[in-house]
Amino acid sequence: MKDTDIEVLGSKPKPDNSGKRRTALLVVILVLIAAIVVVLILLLRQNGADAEIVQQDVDNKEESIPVEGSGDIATGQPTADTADFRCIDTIIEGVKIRIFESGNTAVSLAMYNEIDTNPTDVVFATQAANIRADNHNVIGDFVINGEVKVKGCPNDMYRGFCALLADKLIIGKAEKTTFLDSAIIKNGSFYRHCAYVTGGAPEQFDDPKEAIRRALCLKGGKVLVVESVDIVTLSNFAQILHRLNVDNAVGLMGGKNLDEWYRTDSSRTVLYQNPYEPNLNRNYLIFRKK
Amino acid sequence: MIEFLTIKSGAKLFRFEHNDILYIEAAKNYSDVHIAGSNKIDTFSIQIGEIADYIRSQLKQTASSFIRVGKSLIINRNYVQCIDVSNGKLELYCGVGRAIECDVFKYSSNDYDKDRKKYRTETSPEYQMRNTNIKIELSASREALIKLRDELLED
Repeated sequence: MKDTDIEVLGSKPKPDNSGKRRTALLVVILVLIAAIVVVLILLLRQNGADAEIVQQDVDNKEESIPVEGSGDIATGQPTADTADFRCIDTIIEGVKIRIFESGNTAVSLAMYNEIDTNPTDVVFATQAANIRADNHNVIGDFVINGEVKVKGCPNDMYRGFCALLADKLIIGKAEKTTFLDSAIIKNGSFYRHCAYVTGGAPEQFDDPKEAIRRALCLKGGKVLVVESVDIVTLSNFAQILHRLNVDNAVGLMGGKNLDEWYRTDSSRTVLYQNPYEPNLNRNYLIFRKK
Repeated sequence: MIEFLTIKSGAKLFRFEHNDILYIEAAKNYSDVHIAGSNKIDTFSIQIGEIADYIRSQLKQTASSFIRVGKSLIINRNYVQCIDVSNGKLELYCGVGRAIECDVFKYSSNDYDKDRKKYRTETSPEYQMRNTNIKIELSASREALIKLRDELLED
């Protein structure tokens, strides 16, 4: 009650329209809010659709165009009758380098316990994907004959990959790649390692550690395995591969594990000779006669 | 129709005929009920809003005779004589008063019983009824007086 008001006591209370007016105002506000929300949803959907389109483009975009080996795994000088595996020793930028060039061979990826104990058609083998020191698992996406053993790209360093699909060997660099899906679907193989050379350009690395480095390379359709006899840094090795004019190069297991990879000598193929109990996750790229 | 307003105050119960109430004025936590035709004021230790509630609840037919003007005044519309909006004044006029001076009150109760036959009738010279004109001037806000004026014009 205010001093400016009067009230006739006993009169019927006037209908309180303020409540009705308040309700009407609330309804109007709610309707406006609902309309704004609907508009926002429609706008976001439209933007989302655009984003999906953009995202698809990003997913499909490879960071580098993988280079495929032509037809047979490698074209080279060896004759069709012999499956030569040429070994070339050279020095590049003061570093001793050994280059293995495959002939008419087929390449496959295999676990240690799947390797034939007495293979007669193996001409060369080398360890492929790295193994973790703690749990001894393979690092990075790893597929053998369509079976996924490990999934995921652990970090930027492991964006390099090698895919083996039927007669094709593909080397590239991408965090997400459809070649992984193809390997799974088409019973191919796939592994990850650091990319040394991408599209002819050497990669840069911050790691200053020096070690014996190895890489699987494609150069003009030829498949090469390049190894540093001397210890070098990752960046140095990339520069050396660049000097060799390789198109793409992905790493292989490095280090002083010369006992753990086998090569063909003049009379027979020497297989794994490490005296210690082998890690069953050790895996090899195997070059067989066709 | 006569209705009674009943107000309880402590151990006492007061009954007012509705038309005996001239106006009710708030005085802080008290309310003064001014009786028409006399200088009598009954003060109650209840707030004016409560008295308004009593009027609404007890006076079924005659409650509308009372108009609350502002926060601190309830008037009986039947006694409104003048509304001066420009000066903020409200005049109540009680023209038919019943101020009774009666010699019977000069006697003690024992004497009254002895002489009741003598003093009881109105024709007795001891009874003198006087007409008392009571004019009350009250203050109220101009806005309230305008509203009161409009209300009384509708009558």
